[in-house]
Amino acid sequence: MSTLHIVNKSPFRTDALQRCLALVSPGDSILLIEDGVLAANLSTLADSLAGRDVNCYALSEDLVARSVSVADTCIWTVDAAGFVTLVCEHRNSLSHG
Amino acid sequence: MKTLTFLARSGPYGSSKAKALLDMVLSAAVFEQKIQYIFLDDGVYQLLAGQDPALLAAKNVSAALPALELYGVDQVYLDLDSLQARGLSTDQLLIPASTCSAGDISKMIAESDMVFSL
Amino acid sequence: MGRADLELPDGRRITLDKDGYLTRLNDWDTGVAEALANREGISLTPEHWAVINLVRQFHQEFGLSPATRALVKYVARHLGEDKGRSLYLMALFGGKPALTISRLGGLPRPANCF
Repeated sequence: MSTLHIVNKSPFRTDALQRCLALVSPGDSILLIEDGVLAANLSTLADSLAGRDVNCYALSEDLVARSVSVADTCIWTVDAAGFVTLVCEHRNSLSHG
Repeated sequence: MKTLTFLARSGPYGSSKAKALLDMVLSAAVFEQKIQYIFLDDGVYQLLAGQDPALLAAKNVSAALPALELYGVDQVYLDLDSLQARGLSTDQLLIPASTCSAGDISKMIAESDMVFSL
Repeated sequence: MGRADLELPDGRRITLDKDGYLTRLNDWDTGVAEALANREGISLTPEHWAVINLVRQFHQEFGLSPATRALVKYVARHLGEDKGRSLYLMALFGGKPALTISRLGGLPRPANCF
């Protein structure tokens, strides 16, 4: 069963994203929100997702607010309604703070 | 019976997260569900023997760990990488825990009905 | 002094919370336990005392007020399997033994006992 992994901390301030990536299973999704979206324009994130069957999303409101763009087509943007949809589509949500 | 997974990822003091998660575990245990209590990241510090937070005027969170068995919580796991990254070893722990890897934890999460992380 | 306060034969007054638990755990002594038991219509026998002392030991050891299941196992471990049964505790302390025993033992209300 799939899990939605939510990361809300900057990759430069905590290792939340790294700890998230360590626990992601194939078929899971990652959602970047708040300062977590600062990872969205890093090619290193795209690299670590390559070949893992993991969808990665970033919350558009947080991207726009910070003027951050997504680095790679492998990262999708979702709005708040999409956030809700993602939560519903996964069996569990797990926050990596 | 549901499978509930609890990820303890914070140190024992400095926030109330460790105690809050422990209370959740003990409460869930009352309902006799399958409980997996997993210590990883800074959470492995919760398992260290010899904690004495009296000078912090805090209660010793680890004192409750030997009671887990009485509450029927017998699946206690420890992420070995987290332990070793902190220069610790299993002989420093207050209670026995099964060592596991991040991959094992991913599987346990995937097979859980509910996951809690603090 | 609220209505819920406990008056002891020696004239002491002990404050209780709305559920009848001590507001100051240090107020507890055997006289307080006797008075609390009287309010609940229980007269304490050596069998009661064995369990009350054990629940205090549990709290000392683990920093917790036990839920029923944990208390039953702990009683079985220390007082014998024949006593480590919820029926035995209910016969002594009534329908919600974990709550009553913690109350008489001067412990906080068990947080995870429903």
